[in-house]
Amino acid sequence: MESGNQRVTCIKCKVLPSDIKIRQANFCKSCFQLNFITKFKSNLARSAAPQTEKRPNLLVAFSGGNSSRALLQLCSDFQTPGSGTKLQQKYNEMLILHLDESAIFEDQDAEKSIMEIIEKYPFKCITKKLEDVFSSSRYSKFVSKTTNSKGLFFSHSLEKETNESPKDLLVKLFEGIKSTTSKEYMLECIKHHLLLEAARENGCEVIAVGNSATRIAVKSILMTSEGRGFSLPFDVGAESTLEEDVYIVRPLRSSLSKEIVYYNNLLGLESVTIPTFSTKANANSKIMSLGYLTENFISGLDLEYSATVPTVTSTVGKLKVNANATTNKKCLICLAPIGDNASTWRKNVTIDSLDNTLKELKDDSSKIDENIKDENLVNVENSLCYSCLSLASDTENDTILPGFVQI
Amino acid sequence: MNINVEFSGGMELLFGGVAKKTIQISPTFGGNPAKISDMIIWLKDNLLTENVDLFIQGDSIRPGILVLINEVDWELEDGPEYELSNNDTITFISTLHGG
Ligand SMILES: [Zn+2]
Ligand SMILES: [Zn+2]
Repeated sequence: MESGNQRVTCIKCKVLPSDIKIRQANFCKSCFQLNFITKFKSNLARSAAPQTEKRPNLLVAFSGGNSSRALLQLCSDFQTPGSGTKLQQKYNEMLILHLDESAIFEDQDAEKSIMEIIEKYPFKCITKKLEDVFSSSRYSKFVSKTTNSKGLFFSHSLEKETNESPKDLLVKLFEGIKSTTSKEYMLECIKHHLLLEAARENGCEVIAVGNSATRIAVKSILMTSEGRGFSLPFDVGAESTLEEDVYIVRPLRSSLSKEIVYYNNLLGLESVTIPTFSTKANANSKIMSLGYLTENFISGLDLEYSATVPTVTSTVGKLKVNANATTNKKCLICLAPIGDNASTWRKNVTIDSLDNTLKELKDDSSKIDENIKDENLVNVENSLCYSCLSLASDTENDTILPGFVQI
Repeated sequence: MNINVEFSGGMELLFGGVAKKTIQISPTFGGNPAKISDMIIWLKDNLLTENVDLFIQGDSIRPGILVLINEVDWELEDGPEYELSNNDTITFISTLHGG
């Protein structure tokens, strides 16, 4: 291109005109690609795995989105390097996991496109459906949620309610959750659970997920604003060791989403856009979820101050899990550790919605007495982390929760 | 003049699912040569099918959308001030997650 002559020369080869600006550095196409792949490989090479006799199996989570599209290609290249490259496999076998979200977003075209991409790779593919968390063959009992003057309770649902299909229960669950932010949060919990379940069922010790530096920065701010700061290192650190038998690694954690989409564009890797609760909500109204707003905030800030994303990401990377966090019990919904001080802290902090719900119910004491008689009720206020308490308070009474939530 | 516009990474959803299109726009806007910023307003008025906030913020494109001019990052050209030439290819790629 003629205009290329005037462009700044690539910082790496110092020969070709640059094509892309990453933070303050300008790269030509091939130097960009080399730099991008090198960062990925070194992140993956340095990542730990649970101690086992043999080389661990790797499960690559693929959603169809930009990050996981790049992740799939990079992991595939890492696992099966071309001829002439020294074969140094870190993983025994690679499997692809796809979470089918069509039950709530009803996008069959997206499903088809996702499967077409997966079929291009020579790896075994496992598909889990979101509604699997309501499978009656897997779970014999489900719990539902009740709030009354005595607090927040879970109880075993009645038999007749659970005769509904898993898909119906899933749809009802999301209908029973009021805000978009809480819906997105519940979806994250379900996906996290299915990821771990798929890894265990298929003998995979390591799960690779596509979180980029940009996504980690957004997620960190989002989780802090949701009150989940306590479990941050587990959720967004270099690797999660929350579970002893399965590690979650994030080899794209030092790449900006700009780098990822540019890489996909260079290689002609097509991605699939799956609708989200935010995109659905945005189409109809001005109400934006916290996730959407945080993402807007971070990308806007990063444009003005290119150090925003790396600063947030490296700060989060340095966080250490509080010693208390590993020894304490886990949250019933998200499995994150609940700290010693969580309940005390919660009492000192006003939770608007929860307090209001309690107040409303106190005023209507006739209904409550009937509920209290039910011996089935288990108080869960000290068994949930702050985020899940907020989620539960944003959920309609009698909503049936996914099967992995047990009392 | 003819401009090839491309949408990917989810951007196509804002433009009725169209991934590639050649558009004809005036070579001048208000007596000045057409810039990318003029074309962005043109796209908003003529092709955008979804909420404008998902494409434009303030008076420019929403942060988090990567713009390539003939495969080159627009930050290395003049950004929104870039003066369009006939048959230029302008690519819009969303880097946003949306969640
Ligand atoms: Zn170079
Ligand atoms: Zn929780």
